[in-house]
Amino acid sequence: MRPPSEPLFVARRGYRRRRLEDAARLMPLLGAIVLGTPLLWATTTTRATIVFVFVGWAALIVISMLIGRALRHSDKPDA
Amino acid sequence: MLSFNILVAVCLGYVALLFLVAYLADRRARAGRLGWLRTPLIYTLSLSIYCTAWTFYGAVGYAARSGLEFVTIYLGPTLVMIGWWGLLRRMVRIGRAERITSIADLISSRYGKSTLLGVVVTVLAVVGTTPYIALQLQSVTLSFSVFLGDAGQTEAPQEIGLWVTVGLAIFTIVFGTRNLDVNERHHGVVTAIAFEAVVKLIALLAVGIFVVFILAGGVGPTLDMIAASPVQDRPVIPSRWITLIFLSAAAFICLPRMFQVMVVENPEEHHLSVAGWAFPLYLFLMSLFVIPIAVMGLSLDPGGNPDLFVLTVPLSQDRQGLAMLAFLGGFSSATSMVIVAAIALSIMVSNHVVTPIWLSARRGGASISGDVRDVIILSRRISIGAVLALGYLYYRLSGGSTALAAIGLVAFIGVAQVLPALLGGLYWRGATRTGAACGLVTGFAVWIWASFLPSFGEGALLASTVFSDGPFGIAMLRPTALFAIEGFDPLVHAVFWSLALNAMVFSIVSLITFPSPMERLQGVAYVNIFRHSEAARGWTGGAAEAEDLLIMAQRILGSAEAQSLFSVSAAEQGKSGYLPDVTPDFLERLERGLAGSVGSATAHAMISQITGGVSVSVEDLMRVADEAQQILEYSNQLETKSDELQRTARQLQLANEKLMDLSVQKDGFLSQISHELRTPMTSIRSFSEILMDSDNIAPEDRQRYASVIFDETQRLTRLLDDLLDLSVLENGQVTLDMVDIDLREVLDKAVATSQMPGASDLEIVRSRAEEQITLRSDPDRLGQVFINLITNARKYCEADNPCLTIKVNAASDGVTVDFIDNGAGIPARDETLIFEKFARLSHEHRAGSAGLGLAICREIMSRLGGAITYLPGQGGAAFRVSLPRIDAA
Repeated sequence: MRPPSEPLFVARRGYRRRRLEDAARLMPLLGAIVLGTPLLWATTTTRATIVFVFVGWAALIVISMLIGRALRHSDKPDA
Repeated sequence: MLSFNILVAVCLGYVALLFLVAYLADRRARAGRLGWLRTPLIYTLSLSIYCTAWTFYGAVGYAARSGLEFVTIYLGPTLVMIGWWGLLRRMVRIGRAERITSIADLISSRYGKSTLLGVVVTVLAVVGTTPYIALQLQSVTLSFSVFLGDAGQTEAPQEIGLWVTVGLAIFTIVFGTRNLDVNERHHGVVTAIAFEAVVKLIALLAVGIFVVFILAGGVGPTLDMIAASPVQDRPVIPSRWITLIFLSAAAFICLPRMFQVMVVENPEEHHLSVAGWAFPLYLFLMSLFVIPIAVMGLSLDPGGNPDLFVLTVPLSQDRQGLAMLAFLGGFSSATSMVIVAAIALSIMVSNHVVTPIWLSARRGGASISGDVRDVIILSRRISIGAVLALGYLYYRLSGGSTALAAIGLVAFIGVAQVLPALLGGLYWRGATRTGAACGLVTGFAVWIWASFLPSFGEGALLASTVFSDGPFGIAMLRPTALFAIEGFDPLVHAVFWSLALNAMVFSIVSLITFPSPMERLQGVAYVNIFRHSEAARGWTGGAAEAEDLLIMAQRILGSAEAQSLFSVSAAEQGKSGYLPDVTPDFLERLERGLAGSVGSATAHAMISQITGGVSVSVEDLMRVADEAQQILEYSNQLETKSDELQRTARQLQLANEKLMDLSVQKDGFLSQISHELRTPMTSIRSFSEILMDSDNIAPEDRQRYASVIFDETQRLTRLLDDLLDLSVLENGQVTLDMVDIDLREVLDKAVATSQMPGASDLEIVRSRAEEQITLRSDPDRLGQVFINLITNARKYCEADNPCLTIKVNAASDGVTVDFIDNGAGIPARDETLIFEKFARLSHEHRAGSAGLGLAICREIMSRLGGAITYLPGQGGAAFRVSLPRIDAA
């Protein structure tokens, strides 16, 4: 029965901001998928596995950085 | 070769540098020039205490033994950090809003400021951290011995552990307990740790770059070398991979030292957005060269201790400077971890164990300014010393065995037991204190049994028969095969069962128990932390939470009233629902509302406390609310009592009115009766006087007078008989003789009795067939009623040919007997009067009637369970006698 405390529809910028937050929330899921993938084929510590894990890790860091930056950027006009 | 003395000198120099950094940072912070001390960079670097000496040296050893699996220890924290928006932001926000000082404080505060939970988490933390501190001391001692062995010296390295412990204790006490800040921020310590983070990163990177680019000759050759090394063959086991990522993520959240730097020391919430990628990057860099170093170490020194490859590889190439740097990296990893862990533990021990005990022992009113403050600082210092001494003791007792190396993951599993209670508390309002305590204790017990005790090896603390057959031969309880399920990897086994049982017990007990009001308030505050506090509003200004106000108002005003007050205010602001914006107008109105119940001063105090911003002392508010509730209840009781009194007074008034009526009736009756008695008495006296005084009265006169006297006496007797009869009937003293009667016989008898000789002739019309009814009644009394009615008709019917029709009508529910004459009847206005006593219609005054006949009839009929009524509209006087149909038994 709790009434919505926020407006149901927001303007374009607010909408983008919310989708950014969604992306930030989804990051651990993406990370789990990326870092769980080697289990599908790797049985031993091969060169390919090592490279995959480190490249995937680096990609996660870059994506997280972009999202974090975008979030801070969209935060500024509000604050 | 580096001599022992040079090594000690370098260490002392490094420690002096640390002191200097910490001192300068503290001074800056004290002067209010926080500047770069509060940057995201420092925050990110301070998180690096996750990388202890265990990970600095141990990661390489881990990689040499298990290949890529070592990376899971870094991947877990990476997942937590890149998901900062979901969990860490919430923890930091709550930590700042509620002024949380440690993970034990967070758990205890979430579950209604429970002392018990604080103690449980503190014990868990101490048990989980002490071996870890021992591990750091061991690694420092080991790294010393590497140099000493290399230099051919044989100084007892155990001494070093002691000196390191003492040095760390001094540093921690000096910078960790300098001030008793409400926010528990230690700028000096954090800055020193950030500095150490840089040192260890540079050290590891330097060794790694040396290995890859100088020893191996580039990236390509390194990868080839890896492909050719035994590391290549190390298996990747899916269950361990997933479990370790999960475990390291859980430990990263729950470790007391991580909580300290991540939440308690956090200067700005938005630093998380930088740390969210920068700390994973740090971990990435820390682990980037681990496999190359391991591979190189294995190829250079296949028999060496892989845990020390970071030191032995540069040493074997005679790179003293690099080795020194690596040594400092390991040293700083160990020291930073020990420092922060000691601070975090000392805060927990002093806040959740020492202070409550001291306060309860004091019993007096301790003022928070002076004495408690000193006690807390003293207990902090003693706790730091005790924690470090415990760690050193553990290290000496375990003898630096290999079992110590395994304790890293075991400690992780131990602290991860806090996870269910923590996450439940942050996201689930239904989590209760009992549930959290039961879950924690369950997880703790399973951890001790399935992980901690077995970690010392079979036959060490647990007999080997316990491992093969279970305790007392109970196979279900074997430490490494709980519930007789075998084939688990021991680590996966311990993590799975401890956390699964922990979470299950926590959820089930939470579902079936009921939280105290305090828990429920805190639950709302934690779970809805973002609903209350939009970042733009800021924390220092503080914001009255409409929901908090509603909760408080409900306690005082009652739910319905409070909700209507809130929804009306919300509607006025143009909002739907129950939560209006907290405007001054609204607050004023609410205050007025509350003042009605608790008095204006209290209401004002309560509102200003909630709106004051500083963490609300909910407990105080609750106490006030409870008191108010008691007052309300008391006044409610008074109100009920006064209602009762009013009711009683009304009843008394009614009774009094009735008595007055009765008294009036009695007066009326007495005057009537005296009048009725007086009239015949007067004539009797007059005529008897005449008879006495006059001697010569004609005999016929004498005869006439005597007959008048006789008539009047008869009339008096009849009156008295009637009165007596009526009084018997009215008092209910009459005994009815209920028998089966034939209505016709009763009527026959009544008609015969009333046919007085010499009276005017009255024709009586009956239909004898219909009168053939058997009833259960008193024949004499019923006959009396009939006689009375027939006599009345005879007396009062003025028709020329008086005629009385008697009609009997039998229905299912009763019998009616109607007596209808053909006279003038009774005027409508008198119909209600005729059944009253002495209600003789005066103009019809005839001798021999006292006016009591119909009143007696009415009484008799009501005794018999029937009624007598006047039946209008029958062309004469008509009376209906109704009898209930009580069938013959």
